Amino acid sequence: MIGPLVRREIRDAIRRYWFVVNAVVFASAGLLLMLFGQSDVMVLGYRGFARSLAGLMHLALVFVPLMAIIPAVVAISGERETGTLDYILAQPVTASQVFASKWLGVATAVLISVLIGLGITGVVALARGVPSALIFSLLALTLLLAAAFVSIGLFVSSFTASRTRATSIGLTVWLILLGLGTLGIMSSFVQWGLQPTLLQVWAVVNPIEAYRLAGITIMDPSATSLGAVGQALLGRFGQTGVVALAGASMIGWCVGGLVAGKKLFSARAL
Amino acid sequence: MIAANQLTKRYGKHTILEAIDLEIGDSERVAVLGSNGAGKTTLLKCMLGLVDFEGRLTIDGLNVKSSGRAARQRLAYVPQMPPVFDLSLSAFLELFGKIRSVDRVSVASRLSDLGLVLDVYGDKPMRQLSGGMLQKAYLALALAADSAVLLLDEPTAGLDPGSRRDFIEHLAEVNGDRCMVLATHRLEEAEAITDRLIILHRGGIVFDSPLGESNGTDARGSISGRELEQVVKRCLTVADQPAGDQ
Repeated sequence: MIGPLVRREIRDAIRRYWFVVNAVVFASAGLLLMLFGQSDVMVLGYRGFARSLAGLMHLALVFVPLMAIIPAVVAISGERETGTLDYILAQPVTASQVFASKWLGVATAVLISVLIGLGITGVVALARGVPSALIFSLLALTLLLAAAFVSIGLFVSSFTASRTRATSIGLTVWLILLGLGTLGIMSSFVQWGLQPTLLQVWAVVNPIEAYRLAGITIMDPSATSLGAVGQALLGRFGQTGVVALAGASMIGWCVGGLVAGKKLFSARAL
Repeated sequence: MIAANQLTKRYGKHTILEAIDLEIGDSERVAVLGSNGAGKTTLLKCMLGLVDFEGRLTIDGLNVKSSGRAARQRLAYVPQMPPVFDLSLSAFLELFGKIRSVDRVSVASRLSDLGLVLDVYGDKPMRQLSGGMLQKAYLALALAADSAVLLLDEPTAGLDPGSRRDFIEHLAEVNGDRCMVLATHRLEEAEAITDRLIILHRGGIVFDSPLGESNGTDARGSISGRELEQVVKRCLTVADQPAGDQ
């Protein structure tokens, strides 16, 4: 019963302009970064690869959460606003099935969009000699980040009644998580005399920071751009531990958003 | 087929339906009449499990709260204002046809009976169709679903007089074995389609009686014709008066 609904969600998402725009913008920006990074690569070897990929990763950590959260926040709220959601729920389907179809539909479309954007860049990078392990690691992390923000977006969508309101909340969440990186709030921590451990916790809990932590740890063995908090985490948990923690954080957001959103949605549906 | 026991629905401090007790038989055609805000749509939404409520409500013995999906399998619904999906008419019918396990030929045939040819309008986006066309598409789906109960929420609300007449005529011809609940505020629709009238006012049932086929009171003690209009007027007037005045 869920199949037709999922297919409709994917078709709907792919038909919308954001799907193509996101893929094209992401691919173009990634290609530019890789091409600019090329001279660096030729001169500095592996470290140059890391810089090129780090540039791509920083582009992804700003762009991917946005391209995932926006279609997700309007997925349910939009249907609630137009009255189509009631008709879907009046069919012999459960609220859980409807919510799951929304997640699968939006996530598939977003992940395809990321795959196209990052995939084109990745192919070029591979052709230029960037190790495939790095490309695939970055791809896996980016897909995880996208899935986490789809869940966060659907959670927001599960309790909002209009597209505008849902988009506002989604953008606010994105800005907060993006703006409240460890570097951004470090001075506040010092000023308020808060425990540095809390900053480390936040670095892992914030999905964007977790993505950055894992990405830099994987791509740059010297981890020079990790910052003090990242270095402290690396010293405490080691490279594998940091990547595992960051991965678990993104999976946690993905599953947590999905479960909480489903619960709220089902409660509102009946 | 439908049984409500002490069905109550509140939105915050506002009580929309209060302690409704109701039994609707397998092949009964019931009109739920009431002015705007009387609770007609809410009653239908409770039956569909679209809103939470107090009390007990079953469809064909299935509890709407605990077996919502199975209960909805027995219901086909035509909404008051047909929602516009971002789909073509064909894609819309195909999507909900699959959900309800209804084949395309059956829907197309129902649609054709209603005067809408799928080969002509199928590729049109739903947003380009008139309210009447949309309402016909929703009705065709509901009829093709062949479910035990047909729930119609003011299905002629957005139609012009001609389309409304056609719509009513078609509904009157629907298989008599099927249970039908029609929410409406038009007395003539209730008379044309249904055989039992329930008047809902301020969340409560103020009148419940079978409808006769001719003017006057029939053998079952039912009412129709001129008398009916007076009853409706009286019910709503009496219900509006303070308790002490009644």
